[in-house]
Amino acid sequence: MDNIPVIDGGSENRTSRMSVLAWHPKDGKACNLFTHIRHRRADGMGPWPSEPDGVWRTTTFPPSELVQPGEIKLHVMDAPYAYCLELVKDILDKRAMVLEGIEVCYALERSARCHWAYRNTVGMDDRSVSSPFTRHSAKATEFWSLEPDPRDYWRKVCESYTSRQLEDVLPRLAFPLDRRLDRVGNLMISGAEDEIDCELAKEQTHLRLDVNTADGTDLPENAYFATIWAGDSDDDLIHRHLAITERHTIINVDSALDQIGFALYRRRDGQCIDRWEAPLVREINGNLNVSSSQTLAIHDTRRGTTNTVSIGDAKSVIKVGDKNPAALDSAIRRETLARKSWQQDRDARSRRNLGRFGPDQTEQAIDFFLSFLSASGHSDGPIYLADPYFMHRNFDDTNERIYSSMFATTRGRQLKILCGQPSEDDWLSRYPSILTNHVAVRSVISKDGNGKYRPAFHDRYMITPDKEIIITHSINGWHDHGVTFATLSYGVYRAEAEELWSLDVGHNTNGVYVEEIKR
Amino acid sequence: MTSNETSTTSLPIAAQQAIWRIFGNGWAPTKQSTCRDLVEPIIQKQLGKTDEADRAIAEIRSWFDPDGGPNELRRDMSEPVARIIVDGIREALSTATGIENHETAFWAMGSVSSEVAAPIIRSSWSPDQIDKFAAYVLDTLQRLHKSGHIIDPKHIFGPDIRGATAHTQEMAHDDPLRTFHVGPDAAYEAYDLMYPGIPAVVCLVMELKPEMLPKLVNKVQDRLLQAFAASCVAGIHAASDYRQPLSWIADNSSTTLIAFAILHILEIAREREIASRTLRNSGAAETADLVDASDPIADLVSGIAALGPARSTWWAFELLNHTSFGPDRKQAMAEQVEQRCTQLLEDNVVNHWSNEVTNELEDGLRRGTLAPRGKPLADIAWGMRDAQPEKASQISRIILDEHERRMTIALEDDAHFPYLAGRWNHQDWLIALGAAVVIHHNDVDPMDWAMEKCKALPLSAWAADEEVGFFRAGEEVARTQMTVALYAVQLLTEAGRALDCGKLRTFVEKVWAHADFVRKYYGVVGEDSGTAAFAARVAAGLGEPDQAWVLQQAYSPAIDPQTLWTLLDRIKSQDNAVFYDKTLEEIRKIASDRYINPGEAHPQSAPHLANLWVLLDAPQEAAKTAQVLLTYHPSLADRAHSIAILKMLAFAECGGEIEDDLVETSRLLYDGLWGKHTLHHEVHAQQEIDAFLGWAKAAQSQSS
Repeated sequence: MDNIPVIDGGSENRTSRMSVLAWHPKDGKACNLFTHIRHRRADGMGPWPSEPDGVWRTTTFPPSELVQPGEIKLHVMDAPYAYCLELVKDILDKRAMVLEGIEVCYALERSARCHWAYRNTVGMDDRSVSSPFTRHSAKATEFWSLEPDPRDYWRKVCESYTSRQLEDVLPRLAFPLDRRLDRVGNLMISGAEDEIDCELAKEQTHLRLDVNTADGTDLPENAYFATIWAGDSDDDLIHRHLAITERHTIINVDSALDQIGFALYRRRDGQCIDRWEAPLVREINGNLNVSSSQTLAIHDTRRGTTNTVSIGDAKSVIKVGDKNPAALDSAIRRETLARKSWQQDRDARSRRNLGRFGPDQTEQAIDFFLSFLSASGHSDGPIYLADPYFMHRNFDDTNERIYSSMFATTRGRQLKILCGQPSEDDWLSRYPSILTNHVAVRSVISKDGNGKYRPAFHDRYMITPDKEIIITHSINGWHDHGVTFATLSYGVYRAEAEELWSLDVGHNTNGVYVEEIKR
Repeated sequence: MTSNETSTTSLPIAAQQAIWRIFGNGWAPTKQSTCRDLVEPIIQKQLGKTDEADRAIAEIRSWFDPDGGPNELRRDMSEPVARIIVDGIREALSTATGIENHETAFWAMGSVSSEVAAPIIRSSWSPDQIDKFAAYVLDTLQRLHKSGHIIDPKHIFGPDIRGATAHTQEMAHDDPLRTFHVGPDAAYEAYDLMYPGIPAVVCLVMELKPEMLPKLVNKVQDRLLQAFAASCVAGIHAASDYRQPLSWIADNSSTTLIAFAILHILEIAREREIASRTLRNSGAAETADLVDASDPIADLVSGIAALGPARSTWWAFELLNHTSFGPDRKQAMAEQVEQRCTQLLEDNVVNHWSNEVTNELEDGLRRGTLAPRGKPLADIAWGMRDAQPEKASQISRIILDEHERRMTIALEDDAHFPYLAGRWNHQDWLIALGAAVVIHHNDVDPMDWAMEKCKALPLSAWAADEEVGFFRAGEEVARTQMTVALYAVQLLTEAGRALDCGKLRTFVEKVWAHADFVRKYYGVVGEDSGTAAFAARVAAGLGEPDQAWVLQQAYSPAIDPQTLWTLLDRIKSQDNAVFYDKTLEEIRKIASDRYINPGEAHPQSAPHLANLWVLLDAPQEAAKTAQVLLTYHPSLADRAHSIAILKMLAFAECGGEIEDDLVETSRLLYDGLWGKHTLHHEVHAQQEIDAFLGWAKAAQSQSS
């Protein structure tokens, strides 16, 4: 056990689960993609504990374009922690482990890095590795691998699966390897800091911090202190330092809160042994505004300004070949940066900040468009759609379907449509009121040099309470010209939309005439 | 009656006789012209291009609402024009060409409200004319259905509306009662979705000739239209006479028609039940002349029984499943249906046992949407377990197989396993499972059975960390299995089987440990306590708990206020006062230490804490807890929460342990809750609180 100096705490009375994600190439040696050993108090397993049997149970990844059947397997075993430590020692010594009769190779650095994995539901994407335990933070001991091949392979694997497919398997690894490419090939030991149970809850008018010992005995006197914080709309409302003297601590609050958190510290060494933070609302929206790596310049012709749109694209990968132990930190740093870059690109694509569709991809374009509308389903505030040719009378079945789907998807919210045509043909009245009673259409027109009425605005865009999207073509032209949607990072069009909508209906305001198109 | 007598128009007769054609063509969806467009050509065709025609055209055009649609009449002209149209169609029926060769008369009649048309027709048409017209309408509807002209496609947009249509079209044979029960609502919602005119004509014919519903159902296979027609008939004949719908339950009747008949009779039974209840509540005696002696449910189930063993089994489950929907408590009608259907099923099981019947039993359980209706089957199996043990075991296996099937689905899909929700049909299902376990696993202890099942579930801390959804599904299944085992234990004891009390107490501790573990991970309070409280009742009733065990449990952090109160209350109710008094004081100290803390005074626990302090005779604690709840949860508007606080305050006042400002709060709460009116289900709580306050007043007057 001398080779594992960083593993502290006794292994007595601790039970563990070891998960090995292994790559079994058809014509090569099997190798470790990630190995995770979690351990916790044996008496914390709940009322239905079963003796850890030391038997490996294997799940095979579903085949994909890249992955052959049986090429990636997740092997999971429950065993006493002491037994798993023996296995780790063997792995470090032999750089391999025989698993169900097959040798799985490990390329681990001898020096381990210790770090803390706190419970954290806020910045799970980038900041740090989160605890694999729901109720406890963890102390992690991690043996790094700097081998590039498994990392390259796993990157491609992730791209060949949908997030959903990965979510089906990765929870049993208890590590988000699809987001943590820098960790591919590593072996991590996570020990639950489970001597103390700590919980923070928001009740009607107060926060309640419960601190209990795992075995139900009295709290050691003066052994812990905590910090509690809470905020709303980016304002810090509470940030309080407390000595933990009782099992329950109550803090009154007189404001709405959208984020609460605590950190629990051990007094003898000042170490934070549990940290937890959670948003109370707006969890989903919080993820929508993260910018990504590349930008596309969008020129606003009306205002003469240039704005940027976030897009994603594949990036090259930094190779790490430095095996000098002294350089481990810097190597990890490089891997981490490479992973972040890759992750940001991937996020940008998954966040659908940009969608390009050709004339033969109208169906996909419709799906993309409607997904924006659906995604704003829980937000208050009107949705604006600006399309100069929205009231175009000669639309076909596809347009009909887009319109009816759009009306159906936005029911229950206000849909304000700006168009630029006189209302000669009121086709809108052909829709049943049940579909359109939340829809208001205003025609905003002005006379051109020849005295003809023209649309008083040019650009096509949609504004939901969460997003602004520029749309390159009017809906009636998608099947002829295709369409591109791009999310705007700034409020480019909101002011314009609100200004046009606020113009007096039936009046001429500075040459702009607004007409309400009624059903 | 002629048109001249009733009409306010000065139109020539020839023009009047052509009016229905204007409306018939203007309302026909296949024609492009509107009624207004058609006035001139049709009148000129009738009268030529004459001054008389011009006057008639001008007059007819004046009937239309200038601000309305092209077919819309002025409000004051609706009825006079309706008379002209109805008379015109009657005249046309008598002509040599008749009305059969085209749809004009159909759409013309569709332009008239059935409420207006029906009395005119009844008073001025011969029965032969009515029959002829009704037959014509059915033929026309059949043609319209074939050509896709029942639902107006321009209105079929959006998921909701399309869903309503698809619902009636696709579900009819899987679950006809449910389908057609919602059918009329869907039909009324879809009234405007049909081509304008169709609902009016269907209503008219069903009002004039309700006996034609079976024909309509056979001829027109549009579920929405069928449901709409049936709702029209039900609206007319809901009064009392169910002989006609009863006659529809016959061998050669379609599923749809039988479904309509059942729904119709159930509606009559429901109305009778309401009338009878009203009569009882009013204090009037149920004299023979006021109460109809016939029994719709009994006649209905007899009618179903005549369909043969397999088909009647299928319909019995349909009926049982259908009456599962409704209030949380079992209503008299559901009880009556269950009793009759149990008799029917028992007859089929005892006298007509076959593969077909077995298949229908399995299918019937599977179709139970809210919960399988296994109780009648369990009752039958329980009754025959000694006389015909093999058959009883086979029926029990069917029940347990269905349970396993649903469990597997829940665990695979991490779905909600809903049978602990406390509704009567959920509880019936759990009792049925308990009986099935006892019968089918005759040689296995139900508690061992449940423990084995739970051990196989993903319930470890690893599962809770890794896969929340599966863990939640697993823990719901586990609580269900443990509840089933507890029911089985009760049944076994009732049947005189010896019980290992120690084993039962250990099992109950396991139930509580499970609830506590889940609460630690998910913080759920209240909902999940139901199982723990049930276990407490069983432990107190059958587990022969001694003082040491009760104290040990009270000390355990796994026990929540509801469970502790249930345990103590049940022990107290068993008249074991000596034991109770000995432990009371110590438990009071334990509970006081644990629950009086503001952190533990969770709002959902309030009613249980109130019960607990009263039971433990702890007015000080009651006052303190009420104060905490008022301080920390003042914005809760839930009546049960307010009543609980009031109960604690009243009890504290009764015990003289209350400060003056809390007395004032107590009065305000009381007035807010019951100042003007007491809800029926709160009468008991009010009486209890009144008693405390009465004692308080008595104590005050004594001291003064």
